[in-house]
Amino acid sequence: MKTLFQTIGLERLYTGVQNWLSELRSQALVLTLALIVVMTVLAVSVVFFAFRQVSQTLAESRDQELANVGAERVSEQMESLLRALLVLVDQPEMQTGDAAIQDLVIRERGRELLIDFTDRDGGIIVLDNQGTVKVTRPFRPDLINQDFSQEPYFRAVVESDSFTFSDIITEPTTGQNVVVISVPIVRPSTNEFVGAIAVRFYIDFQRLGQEVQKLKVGEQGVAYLVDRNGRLIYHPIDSLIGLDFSQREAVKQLQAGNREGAITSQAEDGASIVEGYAVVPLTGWGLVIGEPWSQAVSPALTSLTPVAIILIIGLIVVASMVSLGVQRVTDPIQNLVFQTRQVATGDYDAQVSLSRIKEIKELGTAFNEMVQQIGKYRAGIRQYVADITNSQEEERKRIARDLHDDTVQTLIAIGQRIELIKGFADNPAEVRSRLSDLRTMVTTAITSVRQFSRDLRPLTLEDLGLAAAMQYLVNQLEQNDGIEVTLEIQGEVADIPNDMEIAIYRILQEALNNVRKHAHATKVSVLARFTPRQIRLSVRDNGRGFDVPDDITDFTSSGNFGLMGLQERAQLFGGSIKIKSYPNQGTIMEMTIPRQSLPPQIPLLDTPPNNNATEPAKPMMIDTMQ
Amino acid sequence: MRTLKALLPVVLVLMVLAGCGQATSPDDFLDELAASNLPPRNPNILPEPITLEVWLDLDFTRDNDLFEVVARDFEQVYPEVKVKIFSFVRESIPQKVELAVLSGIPPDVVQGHVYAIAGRNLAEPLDDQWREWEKAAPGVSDQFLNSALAEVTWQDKRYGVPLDIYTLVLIYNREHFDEAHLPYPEGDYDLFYLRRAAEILTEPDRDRYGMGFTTDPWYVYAWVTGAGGDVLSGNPEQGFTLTLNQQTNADALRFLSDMVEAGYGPRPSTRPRDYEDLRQQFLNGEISMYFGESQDIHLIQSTNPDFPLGVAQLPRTPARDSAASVLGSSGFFVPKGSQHQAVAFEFIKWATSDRYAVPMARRLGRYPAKTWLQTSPEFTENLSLIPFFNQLNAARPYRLDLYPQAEEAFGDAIKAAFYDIASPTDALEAAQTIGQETMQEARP
Repeated sequence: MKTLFQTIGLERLYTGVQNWLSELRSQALVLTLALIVVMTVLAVSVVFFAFRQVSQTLAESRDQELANVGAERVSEQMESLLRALLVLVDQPEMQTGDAAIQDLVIRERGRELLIDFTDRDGGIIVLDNQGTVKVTRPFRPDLINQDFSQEPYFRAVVESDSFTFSDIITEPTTGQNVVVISVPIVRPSTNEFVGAIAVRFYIDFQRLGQEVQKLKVGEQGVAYLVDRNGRLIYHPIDSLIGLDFSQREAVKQLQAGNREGAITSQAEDGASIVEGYAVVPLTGWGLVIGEPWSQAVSPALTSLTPVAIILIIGLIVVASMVSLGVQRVTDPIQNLVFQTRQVATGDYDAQVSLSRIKEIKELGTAFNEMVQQIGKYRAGIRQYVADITNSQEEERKRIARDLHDDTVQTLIAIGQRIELIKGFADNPAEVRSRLSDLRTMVTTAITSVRQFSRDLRPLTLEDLGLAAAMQYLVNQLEQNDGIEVTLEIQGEVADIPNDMEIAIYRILQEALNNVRKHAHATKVSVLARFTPRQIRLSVRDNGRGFDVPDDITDFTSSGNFGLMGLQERAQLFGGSIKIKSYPNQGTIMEMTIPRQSLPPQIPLLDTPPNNNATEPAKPMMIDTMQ
Repeated sequence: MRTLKALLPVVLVLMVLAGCGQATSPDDFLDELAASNLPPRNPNILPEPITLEVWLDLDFTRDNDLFEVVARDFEQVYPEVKVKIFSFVRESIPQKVELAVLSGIPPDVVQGHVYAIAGRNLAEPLDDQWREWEKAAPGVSDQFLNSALAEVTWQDKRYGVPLDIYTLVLIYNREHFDEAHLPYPEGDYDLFYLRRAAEILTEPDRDRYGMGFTTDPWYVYAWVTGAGGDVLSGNPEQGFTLTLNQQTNADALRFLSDMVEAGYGPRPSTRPRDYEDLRQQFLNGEISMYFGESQDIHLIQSTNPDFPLGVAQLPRTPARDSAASVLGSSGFFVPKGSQHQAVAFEFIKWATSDRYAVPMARRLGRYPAKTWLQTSPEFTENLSLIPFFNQLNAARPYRLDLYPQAEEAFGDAIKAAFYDIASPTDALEAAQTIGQETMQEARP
């Protein structure tokens, strides 16, 4: 896809679209819209299919009804013509066979019949019993005395002795197409066939089509009249009149003997058309009402337009609501991202405004609390570092003072004694006595330096190992402070890295120091469990206990950094410290360090977030036993 | 702002949807009519909801929608009026009106030869309406040609408003004349020159005839008057007398039938409106000359602009006083008993106004019965129309349609003469007899 966009030079567009799609709002919008569109399309398709079926049925019914109505109208029109002809042939003058009299009768009594024979008509003719034209009205001298005995309409009246409506026939004199209504003239007294009167219509004559023309079948619909052979007697398109339409499905139905009906079929151009058809009573002709399928359903489709518009508007409203809703989610998240970046740059005053959405609100609250904690933690760390630095300075001063006051003085004294011994070179006993003193002084100095050394590093740990060092600490507390202390060590204390041993040692030392200083306890039990996966250290006292704050860093504000130190040490090895305490119910300090050393839980705050961390930092846990 | 941004697609789509509702479908006629605004509403027309039934000559409505535009414009200014237009073959309209009037359900406005309709007492006099019109637009009568006003006036009363005016001219093929080395029939030529020219132009080997003929009474009347005859004498006040059997008329008819017998022209088909055949025969080169309507000039020029068309006035009468011809004019009238005369006359005023008269002349070749017709450069610069304009002054009005059965008898006589069923004298004598009998029953 990207290549395609590159090919057509729209790489930026592709990137833009990709970026846009990567946004939560875009995805929510696209997914929601896709879902709605699919549902809508499905619903509309089902409705449309049903609608199409109903429309087709309705259109066919309507066209069939129209065809029936039209056929009735044409029939009535032809019937009135026929009645007028029958009235004429009933006139005794018409039965005389005298052309002049017949012409007069037609002119005087057939005027209404002739009213429309003013435009490319055929007019009325009277044939004698041999089929020769004797009278024409309007006057057509070119037809007078023409032999029409072989014309089908004349033969029909001779044979049937009744009126007849012809199909399209070609007039022998002019070569033009006409349809003819012919009525036999019979002298009633003798039942003698005198001749026939015939109304000849040129097939493009408007009177034949005027009733059909009135049938409104929309903009593109047509109504046409066909004879029994399927030839067009009338069609609104003049140039088609006379053509053979017998291949049209509706005409086929008529020719098959169906008197009325409707059919949907394909036109020559492939378009669907709906056609209603009906036989024109009296004449045997057929009337067809046809309209394109598209037109037949267009009113229905038009009525669907408002629905479609409402659907589209609904779709847009839904999309907008989704967009707004998602925006209400994404805006706080974007704010959260922004504020997180602020925190990353060291701004610990950053706070997010709380959303009204519960989950987002909780996230914001958590973020704000986290930032506050980090701020406190940072402040604690600073204070801790400052105090550590001060402690180190004090320790250095103490060591310098101790060295100066003790070891250095001892060494100076040793040096002076050695100078004095030089004066007793000739007095060996005195030298021996002085050297003995000197040795005592050196021994004192060594003891003093060793004490320094012991104070600086847990020598017992190095000399005896962690288990013995832990026992040493327990013993010291018991001996020095009279507290009953028990130590239980479970598991294999082996293969522990030196720095981890020191950390465990110092954590226990600090925990026992806290007991000694603050707990007012009489009993302390220490349990150390060394499993292959982790090391757990539990120090439980029966002292006075205390209210454990939500955050261990809260101790730092009161200048108590012991617990903070414990936690720092544990976290250096991926471990944690839990403190459970309750006033007058003692305190439990539990340390857990994984056997495989992990990165600290909380990275250095001044460093940027490490996205490549293999394991997320674990939260600091403080149980309060509440 | 963010909310607005989120709602922007809604606004855009609504704007698009709103835009979809606007569609334009300029009408050709409206393009032409755009220069002038619709006439104002006549305050005298009460806003009553009515349907105005208008009957028009099919020749004016076939293949064009000028009068549909008139109707729609009228409905726009008079929204309470619904105009329904029906079209009929010109020749059938008088009898249809008669039937409608007798049936008590006349239409409101009809186009036709007002003089003949008024003479048959089938139209309402419109003098009051004309007076009101004159008051509102002084001099409006002067805008119409006098000859056209005469065609809507019966016994000094106006029964309608003229729409168009036409006459017969000689239409000829210049190329045929050139080939035959014949001078064009211009200026002072007569019927005998015409016959001689027809004889020379006739070329049987090429299926070409010198002259084309029709049996239509109105057309043949031009030949009759050209020969110095007439079919009717008298006036509305004193009454008319049928003069079909005048010897001059028989001579004129014989002149025509002899030309056909001599083979200078094809025998006319005798079907109604067989004059329509002439233009087609002329364009096909089958005939070199014919008496044609002024509209034929427009039809030939618009459909065959390169055709070597020649137009001349009809030949001089034997008295050589003028070039004889026949005058035709249609106008609008209000049939007897119509219930909406005020609105009907207002519609007539609209339909005959220059707003629609100009496109009628340009597009249909139906020339309005207005005085500006003969001075407007747009038409006077068309040299082919000059004979038509000149002919208008000499053309004689046709009155035989006052008596349809006499007219029919005249037509039958013409046909009989052309087909040699009877001699022109006998045929006209028979027609005279029939005509006189029917005239006694008629009012004029």
